[in-house]
Amino acid sequence: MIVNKAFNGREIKVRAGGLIRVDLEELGAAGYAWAIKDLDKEHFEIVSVQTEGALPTGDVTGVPVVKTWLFRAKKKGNSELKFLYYKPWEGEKNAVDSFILKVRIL
Amino acid sequence: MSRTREKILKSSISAIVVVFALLLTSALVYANSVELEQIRQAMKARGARWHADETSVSNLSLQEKKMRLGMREHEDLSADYLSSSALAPIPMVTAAPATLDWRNVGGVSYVTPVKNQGSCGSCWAFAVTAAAESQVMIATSGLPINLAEQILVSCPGGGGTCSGGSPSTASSYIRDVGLPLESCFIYTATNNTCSNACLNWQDDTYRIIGWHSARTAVDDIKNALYAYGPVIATMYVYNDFFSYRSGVYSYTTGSYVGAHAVLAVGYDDTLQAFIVKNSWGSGWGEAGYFMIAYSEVTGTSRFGYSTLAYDGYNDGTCVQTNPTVTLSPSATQSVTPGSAVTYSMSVVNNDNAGCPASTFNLSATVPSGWKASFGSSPLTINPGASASTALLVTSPTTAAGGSYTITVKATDSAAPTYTTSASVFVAIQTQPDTISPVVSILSPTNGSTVEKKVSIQANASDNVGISKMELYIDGALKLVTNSSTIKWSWNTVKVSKGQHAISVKAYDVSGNIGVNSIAVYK
Repeated sequence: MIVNKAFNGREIKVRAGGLIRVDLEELGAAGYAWAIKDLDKEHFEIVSVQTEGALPTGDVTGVPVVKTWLFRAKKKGNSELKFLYYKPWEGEKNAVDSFILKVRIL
Repeated sequence: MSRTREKILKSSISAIVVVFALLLTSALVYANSVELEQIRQAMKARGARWHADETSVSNLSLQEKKMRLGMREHEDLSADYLSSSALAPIPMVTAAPATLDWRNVGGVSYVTPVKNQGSCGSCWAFAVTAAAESQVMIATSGLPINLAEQILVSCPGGGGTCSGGSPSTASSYIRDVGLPLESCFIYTATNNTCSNACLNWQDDTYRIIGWHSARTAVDDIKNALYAYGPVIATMYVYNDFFSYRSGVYSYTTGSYVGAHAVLAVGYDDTLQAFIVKNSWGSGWGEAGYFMIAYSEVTGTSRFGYSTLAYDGYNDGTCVQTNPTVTLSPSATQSVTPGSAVTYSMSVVNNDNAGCPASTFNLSATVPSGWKASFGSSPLTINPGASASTALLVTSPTTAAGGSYTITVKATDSAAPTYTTSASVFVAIQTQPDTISPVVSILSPTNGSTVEKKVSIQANASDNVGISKMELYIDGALKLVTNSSTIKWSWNTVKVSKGQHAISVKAYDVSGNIGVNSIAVYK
């Protein structure tokens, strides 16, 4: 299951052992990054994290990149994946955006 | 303008004071010391000269961090970028001093305070605006100025949006349209709309005279800083950069997170580093600034892979420059007596935006008995613009065989001292030319052993004229020139051992081909 920012606040269903891919656009060139908030390790396992960004065209700068997390749903139950968007050196209390995905693991 | 800056600099060049503010306060949230330790270990392993503090990017688990991919192999963008004919590289000036900091030249700062672009991909707008502000400050002995980045983000042609933009496009906009004061359009960190700027803002803007690109080498960037003032530099950002707190940054670890534009405000040869103003607020780095190692120019972050310098603040004064004149085709044309050749003559008006349009008178100098006529003359051209017209050159039926010179000239009718010429050659053939060019390979020598970078040089001669030359290595075309010489640097580091063939072909204006080949060994 692939989700992006459009799924903010929504619920998805996934079988135990199934994979969830979360794609979130971030502006690293502005100093911002998405980070997981309090991962529920009982229900989720991180399989991989990757940042993908197109090479600049000419001298174009400030283009967002996409950070992709791949999670494995570990066991049945209801849980959430929460992400915050902030400047790492400022801390999550200064987050300017958030993303929450409700997950029902079957 | 350059002289003014040199005067300012030379008066107090010894005083390079880099005052850095205290690091982040204890209010910051730090979550994971493992990540920091990894960065510090990477820094130690690489001999890094900067200091990292914990950041909440450490909220990523260690596992997550280890799994993070995305390290990129970057193309050398600067070569493509600099190949643009619109960009005239900055000429080298006298040797730059060992240290320079535009924040303190004789006790005066020519750099505006650090700003914060927020969560908008507008680094390019902040970098070019900061450069323009510095140009105004240099022209006004350091008077404070605050220009509106939002214009570039919101107005058509400004260079981009919150999803990225081009410093070169934005620089042209500041040259041609200009920026009003910040109070006219306060920054919102959103795309916003141009109509939200203050009324008739175009009537009261600050403009630059022009801009140049610098070659992407340490000495060229230093030269640009010394001769022109603070310069815009682009770089690749990796997530270890988020942790930078002080010292001289060089890449240690982490994934690529985007291309960034910043303002270089100085350099320090003792520390072998550039001094750079970021647009992430004064809470990042050394009060919003960072130092980056010279080695990063060719290193992972490719600091300055595009570097732009501004010519100065355009206070409305007209600054005239000689026009640029080109004739196309530029290669020698071969015709029979009585035949005609048609050229396209192009004229670029290099005056600055403070000047009115110029009218250029065109003239042609041809051999006795020849005729030349322009499609249209004179040409009226706005500053920064170009215009073209056809030129028809006709040889007399009595023309003897040989090579003849055609020279054209464009002269500003109101200021005749601003004039430029260009020449081409026409070859007259009285009988079919069947003689092939003779090619000489000057280096390397036949049978020699090659290693590392090898300079390949060859030239060609012909009874009528050379139209082009081609260089082949092991049968693969490497270079084409439209002259009678060819020169190429061959990097043999990755070339297989054994014999390799270097061939050079020369074409004359009649289509005859001459070839010379040699064998070299690695």
